[in-house]
Amino acid sequence: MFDVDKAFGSTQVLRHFTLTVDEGQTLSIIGGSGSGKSTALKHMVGLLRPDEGEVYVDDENVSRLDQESLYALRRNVGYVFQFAALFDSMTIAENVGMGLKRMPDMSDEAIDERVAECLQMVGLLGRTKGCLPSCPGDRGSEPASPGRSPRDPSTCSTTSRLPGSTPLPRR
Amino acid sequence: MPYIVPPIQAIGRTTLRTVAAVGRAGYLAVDAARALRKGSLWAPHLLGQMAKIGVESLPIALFVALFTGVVLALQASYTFTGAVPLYFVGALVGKTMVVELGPVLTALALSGRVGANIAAEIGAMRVTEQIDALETLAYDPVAYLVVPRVIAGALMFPAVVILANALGIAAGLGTAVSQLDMSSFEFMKGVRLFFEAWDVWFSIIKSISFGLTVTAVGCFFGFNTTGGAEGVGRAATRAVVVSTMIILALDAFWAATLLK
Repeated sequence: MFDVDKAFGSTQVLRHFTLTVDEGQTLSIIGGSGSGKSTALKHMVGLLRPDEGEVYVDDENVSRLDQESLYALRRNVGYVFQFAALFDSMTIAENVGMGLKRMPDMSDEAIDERVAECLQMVGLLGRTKGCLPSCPGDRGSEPASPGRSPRDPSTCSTTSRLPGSTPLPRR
Repeated sequence: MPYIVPPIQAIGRTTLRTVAAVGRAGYLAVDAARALRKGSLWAPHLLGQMAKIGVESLPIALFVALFTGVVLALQASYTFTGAVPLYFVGALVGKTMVVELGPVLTALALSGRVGANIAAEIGAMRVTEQIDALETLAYDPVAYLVVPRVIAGALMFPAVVILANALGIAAGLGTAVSQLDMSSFEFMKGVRLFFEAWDVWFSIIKSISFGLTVTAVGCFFGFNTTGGAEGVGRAATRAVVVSTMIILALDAFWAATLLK
């Protein structure tokens, strides 16, 4: 991210914000509430566009990509939201498999296999049919992580403040 | 003249907000039109939405139609007694139900049930970042959420209205026979007297436009929800109010353009 400015109304959230993350690097951004952490991350996946400045991911200028190119980029990015943003009308298994259905080279069987693998990682394998409101414990942390990253993306982002969250799997 | 400035500022702010909202609605309409070609995203959800919007709305729509038919027959009898032959009760019930009250009252009832539901559902998804999550998973949220609902509204509103019209006329017939000392032959003679096939097409055209309105307005306010739970409630309320106003305006528009 180079010299990014972003304001919401009269509130300037990012001012001349510059950040470089090298391939293979793991980076944590720590800041007070409202300091712009989530705002910065959302620029990286094109959920927000900067008022000024530019954002590059894998040498692509995210802020200039058209919709189809943006979706192609997002297939390579895993993103975990602060409050999980799970689809509460779907089962746990359906949540985990959502992103995989957008991969053109994955069959239904391969998707089911990968979903089972991811749920096994977080100890939810026997609960694939359960709907989210009935999931006990921290409903945000357990389904959210594999749900957003079962595709083994090259880039992983989380805006989570989840207690005890584990690093996401990376290529 | 300091007392003049605040009202002028308020008018200005409201005008700017309204123009901005119309602009956002235009963008959403263009995105929805473009999203039609992404059938793999919206088609799997179409049948489910048709069931939710159409089939599940039948009880309230038929309830409204039933009592509308009853009241129309009773009020027609009250108006026409001694003035014109009583079979005109059938003419009034049939014509009014098909041309006006069937589509309009059904649409108004469904704007509360369907429009508010859509606005609340999508609004809740917006404030809990589920729509952002769809975007990060490379799903076009307009194709996934808006298109199946709008198409389902356009297809199912006419179906519900046709059934409502039929029940309304049947209810009028039942009332006429049981309460007004008319024979069913007399009633149906009146219905056929002024019936034209164009009335049914007019009813269908109106209901399609109402279906598109209710679903599109619900989607628009849902997508633009801010402010947590309170914002979701506001979105649902606005969806009903705005779609009601548009339905009534469209009703006048269709009458002026298609009934000459």
